[in-house]
Amino acid sequence: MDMNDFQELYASESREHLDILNDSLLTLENDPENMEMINECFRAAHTLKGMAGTMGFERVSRLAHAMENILDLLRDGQIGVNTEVINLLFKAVDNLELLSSNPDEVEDLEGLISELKSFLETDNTETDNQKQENSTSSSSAEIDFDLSDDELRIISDNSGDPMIIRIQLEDDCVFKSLRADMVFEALEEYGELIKAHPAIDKIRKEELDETFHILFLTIESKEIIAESLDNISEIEEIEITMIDQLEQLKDGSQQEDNKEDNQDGIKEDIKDLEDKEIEENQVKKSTNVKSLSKRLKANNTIRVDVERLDSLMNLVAELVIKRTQVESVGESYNLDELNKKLKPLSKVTTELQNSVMEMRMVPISLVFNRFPRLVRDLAQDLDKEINLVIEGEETELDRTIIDEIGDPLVHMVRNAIGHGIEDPEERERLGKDREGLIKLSAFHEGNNVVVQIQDDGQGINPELIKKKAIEKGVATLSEIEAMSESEIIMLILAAGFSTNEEVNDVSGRGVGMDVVKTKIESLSGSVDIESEVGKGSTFTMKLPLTLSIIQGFLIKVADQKYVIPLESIQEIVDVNPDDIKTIRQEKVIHRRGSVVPLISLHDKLNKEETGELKREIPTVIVEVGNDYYGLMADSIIGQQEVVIKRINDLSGNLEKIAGGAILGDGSIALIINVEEITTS
Amino acid sequence: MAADTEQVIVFDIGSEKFGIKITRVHEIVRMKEITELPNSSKYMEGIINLRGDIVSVIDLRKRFNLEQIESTNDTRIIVVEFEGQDVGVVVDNVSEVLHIQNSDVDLPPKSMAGIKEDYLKGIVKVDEDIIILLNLDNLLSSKENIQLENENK
Repeated sequence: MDMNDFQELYASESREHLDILNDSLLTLENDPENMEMINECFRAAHTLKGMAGTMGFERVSRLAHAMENILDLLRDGQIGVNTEVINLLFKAVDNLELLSSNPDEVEDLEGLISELKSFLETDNTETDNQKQENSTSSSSAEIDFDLSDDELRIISDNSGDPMIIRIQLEDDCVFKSLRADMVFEALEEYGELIKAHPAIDKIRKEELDETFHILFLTIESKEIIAESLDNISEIEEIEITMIDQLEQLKDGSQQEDNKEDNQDGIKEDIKDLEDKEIEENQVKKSTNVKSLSKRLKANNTIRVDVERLDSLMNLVAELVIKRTQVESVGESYNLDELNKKLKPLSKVTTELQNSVMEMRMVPISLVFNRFPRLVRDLAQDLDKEINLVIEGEETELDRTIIDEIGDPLVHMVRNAIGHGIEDPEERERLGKDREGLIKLSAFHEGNNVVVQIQDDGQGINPELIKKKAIEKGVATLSEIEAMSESEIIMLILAAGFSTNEEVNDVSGRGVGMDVVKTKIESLSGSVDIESEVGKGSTFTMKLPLTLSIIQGFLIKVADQKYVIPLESIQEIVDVNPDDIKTIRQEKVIHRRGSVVPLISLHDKLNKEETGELKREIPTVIVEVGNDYYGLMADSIIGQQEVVIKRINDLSGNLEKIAGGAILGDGSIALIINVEEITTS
Repeated sequence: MAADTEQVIVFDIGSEKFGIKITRVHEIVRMKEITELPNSSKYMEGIINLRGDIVSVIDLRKRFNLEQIESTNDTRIIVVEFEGQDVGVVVDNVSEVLHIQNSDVDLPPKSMAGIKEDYLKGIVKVDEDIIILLNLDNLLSSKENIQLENENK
């Protein structure tokens, strides 16, 4: 691994720890007595500090350290959890986030650190930490695996010898959990992981020190196991202790008994086990083995750069297009043999496409996760009381959609808090709960994912909308009179409409609901609103599960916009009509010593030539096979990422168009099939 | 509703009244900007953006070889289901939804208002009007010319 790999690992892992900090601070605020959350925060801050330290990010490490000290006091109960502390810790988390994303934007870090420090009465936390760390590192003989009945049964029923493996990582090991994972993976090839100390899931969460122990069952010899672990770097020392079947494990735990008093568990277990009929537990055992391996499997994931996935998807899309082309050759020449052979190929490519699509699916929790914090901050700013309920956060969507819906969602939630939910006093007067409810939910519906934002606030008053719409010139009085109530409510999505009188920080930051609408529609989704005055509103967004996206260049021919896929574009030049030569009735230009045929898009796309003489013709040079062609357009608009939509071709002669794309303004651009347009 | 009655959406093209089964109709929208397609024959008018989806549109006036008219406030696109996908059909106006008894539907003649039997499901007389029930699937999949009476090629 080089430094870059480390940096990537660091970035993604620190992201996770920051999320943990945010989440557990929120929980802690609502439940100040929750020791577990304090511990969780402490561990996250501690890990961040360590990671940043080894990476040489001194500022992160110092800030995390200051946080850690406060959390330590909280943990010891020396100071209580109150809004002040929580706000301060949140501020620190925000700055940690900034430090890892835009370090330049961080202001007054020293001020914050000293603010944090002023919370500390004594400065003895550092030594405490060390003490704690020291106490956990111990030799294998003392380790208490605290085995359950089932685990002991696995050991006794399976062939192979149990052994305890002690792994000592190097002091400055950066990613301990990663190394531990590599160890687990290596071991799994040779036998069964029974248990680890600390527990496997804790190790995976970076909750380990330099040393950890594994109880392992294998038929291989000690030497082979040691060898298999040998090539994992950053391991200081490996110590393997064999245990001869249960008796020894029992003896071992008795020995441990002498040293520590809390070993009764394991002894009891073994006694129980000896008394029981093993047969009656056979079924239970096998399920247990399964669940254990399942748990190990669940974490068998790798991180892949999205770009690599994208390029894989592009390749697959290309493959599908080529397949279709070959298929059409087979059909037009009635090549039965070829057609037969192509059938399985088409099945495979379709499956391939589906699995690549699946790989791009990520849970919507990636977006939802930021809301607890956002809602908390907003509620505090606006003196409102809000209960945020999140449902269906495991629902999966295409990565691109996840990236794009964040802002529209934030906007709508801000609206719901700013305009929807009333002040607590007002709510009490209306006989509602002081606490307003905002429900964020996601679920599948056919080939779509539905994302809903519900609030139990004051709802949208159609009368106000009517007035506003006329005022803003969004609709005329006669138009409005013909509309149903729900149509009127949908007017808030119209461009130029924004109901709030005063522009505040919460909503109405210059972007209106129309931006939300166009964004969602550009993702091929739709927005719907239901609202009842006094009861609340529901915003429903329907989104497609996946998208096919290409990079393209937007050009204009006559009155229409077209997209040329970027991958086939060589360059864009302005051609002077004087440079155009005619060879065998074909217009060509000379470009870098070769002859490039010119193709009039007007001609190919059935648009009439305007006949006006231009001094320069914007021309897109494309490469098809090994040949170059110049496509003459009227103007070049620019590069854009577009979502390809299939056009249902009822006429059967649409070869020149590969699909359609909906642009930001709702208009449609046609995607040019470069191969067809240059060869036909 | 009894099993032998059906609901039919009635619309006008020129001076004729046509009907299609309501179960095939997904929605009726006002005229929208239609994006032209190159080489699209008279069978396909173009495509529209229907809430983020691209829907192909057929103009029945073109389909029936009638003269083109400017779209009016009454012009509608009826979005119907065809082979599992949405297809828009441009009509002069949508007039009503009718309940018809299946027993009232007469078999279509060999040709009706210049439209061949293939594209017809039947005809219904309602008061003074004759409503031509269209066979949507044949109509949308066919590539051949369909001509209304009194129109030249």
